[in-house]
Amino acid sequence: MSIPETSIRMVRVFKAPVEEVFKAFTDPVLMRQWLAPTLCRVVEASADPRVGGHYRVVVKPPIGGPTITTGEYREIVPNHRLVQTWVVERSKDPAHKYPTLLTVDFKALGADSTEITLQQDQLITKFDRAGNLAGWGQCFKKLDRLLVSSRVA
Amino acid sequence: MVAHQADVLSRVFRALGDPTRREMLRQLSKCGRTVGELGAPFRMSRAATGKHVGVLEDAGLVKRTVRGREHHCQLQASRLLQAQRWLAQYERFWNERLDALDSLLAQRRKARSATENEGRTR
Repeated sequence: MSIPETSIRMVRVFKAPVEEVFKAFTDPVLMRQWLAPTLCRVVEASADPRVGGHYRVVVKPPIGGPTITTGEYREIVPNHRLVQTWVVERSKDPAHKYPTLLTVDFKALGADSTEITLQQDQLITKFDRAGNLAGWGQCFKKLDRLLVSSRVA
Repeated sequence: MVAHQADVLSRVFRALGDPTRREMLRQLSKCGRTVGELGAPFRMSRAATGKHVGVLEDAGLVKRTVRGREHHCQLQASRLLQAQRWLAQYERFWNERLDALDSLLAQRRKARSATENEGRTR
């Protein structure tokens, strides 16, 4: 059986300039037009895209209470990189939140073509949230290499 | 006492977030091992290995039984499956959202060229 990782990762190409794709992630007017799952609608979207700024998206399903996603921007490099916490709170159980870290890297492939790499690190603990998760990722990679080389030795 | 899903998954992902522990789980997925056997490939002290096993146990990923002087460890697959299902759910979520983003960008592109064409014909 395969051991799962702690993050999901995907790469996508969009037929749009990088500025527009970046805006789609940070401008609430655009965010509300694609962030709701099928049959749901975004009833509230706000964002303050600067380091330390917050965002909030409230999605209402056809039946049942809303799902609220909030987070804080950790890193913003316009048209290049976005690192934000993504914390989901379900109306069924508001006491338990599901904190994750979302990292999106943007790359202009052409005037009308953009590639994004989206990574979501799962259930970051409050301990991780305070630190630099990207930095730890680098440390783990180094440790991994060290362990592989020591195993071969 | 039933632990809440968020707490369970949080502990599981915390445990999985360490490459040494992931390698230990890989070993355990083949067969049960003693704590000593788990630490051997890393030339790790019994104490250090015990710490890692403790985290895995706490996450419900490993069950430890003491037989004489040996601590035998066994993989608990159901927690791993839970983590995999959780990841699959988010993978689905983002695939769908990015499909929606694709449609939105296509809509905007069409609207832009429509207004550009209008400008030209006037």
